[in-house]
Amino acid sequence: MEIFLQQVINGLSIGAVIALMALGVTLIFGLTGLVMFAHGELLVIGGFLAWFVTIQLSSSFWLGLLFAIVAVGLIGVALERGVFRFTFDSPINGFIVSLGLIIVLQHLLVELSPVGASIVDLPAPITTVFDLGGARIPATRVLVVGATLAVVALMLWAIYRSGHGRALRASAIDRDTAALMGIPVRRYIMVVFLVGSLLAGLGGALMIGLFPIDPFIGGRFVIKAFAVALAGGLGNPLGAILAAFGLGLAEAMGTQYFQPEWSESYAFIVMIIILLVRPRGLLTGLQGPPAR
Amino acid sequence: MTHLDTDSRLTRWRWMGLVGAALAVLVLGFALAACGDDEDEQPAAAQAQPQQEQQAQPQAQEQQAQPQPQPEAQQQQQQTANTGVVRIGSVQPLSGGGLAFYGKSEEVGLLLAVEQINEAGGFVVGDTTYTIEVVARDTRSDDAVGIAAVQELIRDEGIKIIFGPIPHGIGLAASELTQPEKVLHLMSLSILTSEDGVLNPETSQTTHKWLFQIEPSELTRSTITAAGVLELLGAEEGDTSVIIATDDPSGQFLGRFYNGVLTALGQKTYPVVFYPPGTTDFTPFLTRLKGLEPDWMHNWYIAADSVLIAEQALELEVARGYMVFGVDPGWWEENFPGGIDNEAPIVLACINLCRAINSSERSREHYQAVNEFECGNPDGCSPAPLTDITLWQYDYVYMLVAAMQKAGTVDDTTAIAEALEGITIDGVLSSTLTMDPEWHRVAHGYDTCRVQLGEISCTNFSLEEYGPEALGVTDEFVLANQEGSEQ
Repeated sequence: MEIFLQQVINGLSIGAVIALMALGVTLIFGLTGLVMFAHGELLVIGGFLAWFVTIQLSSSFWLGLLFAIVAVGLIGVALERGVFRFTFDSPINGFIVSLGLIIVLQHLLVELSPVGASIVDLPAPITTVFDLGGARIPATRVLVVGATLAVVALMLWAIYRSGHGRALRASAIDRDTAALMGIPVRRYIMVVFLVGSLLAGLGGALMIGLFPIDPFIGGRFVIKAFAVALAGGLGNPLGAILAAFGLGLAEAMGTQYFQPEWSESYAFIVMIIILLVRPRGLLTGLQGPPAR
Repeated sequence: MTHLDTDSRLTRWRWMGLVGAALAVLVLGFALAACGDDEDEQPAAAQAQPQQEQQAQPQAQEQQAQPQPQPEAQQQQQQTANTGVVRIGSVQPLSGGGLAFYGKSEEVGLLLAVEQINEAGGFVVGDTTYTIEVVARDTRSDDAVGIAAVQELIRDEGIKIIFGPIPHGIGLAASELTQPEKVLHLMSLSILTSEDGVLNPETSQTTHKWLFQIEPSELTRSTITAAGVLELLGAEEGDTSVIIATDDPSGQFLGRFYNGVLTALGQKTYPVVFYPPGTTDFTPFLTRLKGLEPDWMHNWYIAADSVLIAEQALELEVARGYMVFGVDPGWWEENFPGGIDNEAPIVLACINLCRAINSSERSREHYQAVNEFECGNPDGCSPAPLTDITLWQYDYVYMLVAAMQKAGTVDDTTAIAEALEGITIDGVLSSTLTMDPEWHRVAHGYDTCRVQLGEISCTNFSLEEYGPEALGVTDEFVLANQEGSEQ
């Protein structure tokens, strides 16, 4: 039982970082139709900035975390204003641009980082390890899961319960009609980029408290983020969250009860089955705004 | 202004923009190409630091060929009127992930030996004094890039001697390119003479005559390492040992083989748990291992992963003690997040000899020279390197030179290969470092360190006392028990 419980905790912490990524990915897609593959690089930038402030500037992890969130949020806005807004009428162009951005951002990270392409690590911000019925629970993982759940709850409330959330969902369903109704769609797009990037910054900073990162690790996470966003229903935040934690649990349980080296495959096999059975995802996502 | 005017102006601006963008791309492309050339093709001499320690050079044994440069006075007498350059290819992973730690270290060993030889005036073969030039290539930890680099060195650069690459998969593939071309190929890969390898007493005399394994057999390495690790952990017969290893050809080969050796040494063992390359969160794998209730946990083979695995394993309390592969004690003492006050014993298996804590005066001198070469401080570099395998190249450059002198040629790779067979040098790894004439491989002992309660101590486990012959471990038993005793 303790092993099962331990794997549940492992799965939830794997799912937490993916959930933060997937939420950003699915929000941006929902409103703009943009498949933003460079989102993984925003996560890595968040991790590097947290590391830079904490280690290079000998500051506290919490300040590093805050700096990473704000800085990556601003980078997201800059990308929307300076690059992606010119592609919203043709999402395929935005997709290609995001692929190019991956390479550019990776090289920038290598060039600007004091350690180049090397791995950067951060001591766990909290070193306590709880013992729960024999299962060992590092406090950092509790922090990651707790912070994710809190942020996700806040996001879901904002999207499904607030007036701005209603406007956002209306814009996602039909941008033109929403604009005709007086909703400032362009501003919402910028806000969605800001929020998605803030979440990536938070995910990166939390992630580096769990394990080291390098400039090229973003792709690994963005693929998982897109897989869960698709399986949850692209454009559907709640679906993405559920699928992210499902993916984490599938990885952990697959490792425990099947061939461990196939751990990542189990989650993707589940995703494929979901998409075959429910092509628009678990909770029925959007197709995204039509290209014009 | 008419629409036509507007359109034509727009068109003009678009064209100017396009031309400008194209020019920018061209300039950027040339600049990148120039940078790439500098990085890839810089000869060893240009990369090396000037000041070296000379004491660490291996000495050729009297009864063998005289391989290495002599002290300056003698050197001047031996200098000949003719001079030449021997070009050696080096292909290693210098970027692109955890393997780069190993690749860079191997290259340092090669460059250090080359610089020492060149600074001493080179070496004499026949009536010519030769210096060595290294043509280095980075595999970027990508097999396809590495294979292309080996091909390029052979076909375009005309290189006849190549060191590297690692790890096992790409090494085996590279040997298939070098051997038909009779390129002398030296690789620190124990898989070459394994069951799945290409070198054996028959092929070493026929199809793979020019291929040499500059590392002991896996039976030797795994047996000495496992015996040393179990002794330092305080393990007893019948204890349970589990292994976690990378799921790539090297990890599969090394992990399973080591499992067989642990079984041969009386440990209760289970199938190796493999993790996908690139994994950073090992907790699901470690939890699975914890479920087996092990006494000892061993991990192979990427040093950067090993550190992370140890950190997470300590958090989860997977076992009573841990073996960490490939991490140097100097790095561990300075950088391991948990420090060295751990109650559960941790044993660091150095890949050959440890760098920060030395088990002999000879290795201390070698690592002073390496430190001087890398950072200009013989007492050590900061930050301390994660791992060190300079000796997987260093001694063998001297062995190669000895073979060239013995063969009386630097060009005829067949004659040099024949001269390498059975050659013995007084190296850092061993005072009688000998190339087995049948298997084309060497044999020597390994350093292993125990970390516990604020102390680190390192021991050399010798071939004579801890080797497979001494402990009665055979290839047959190991191969039959790779899946463990409790399948």
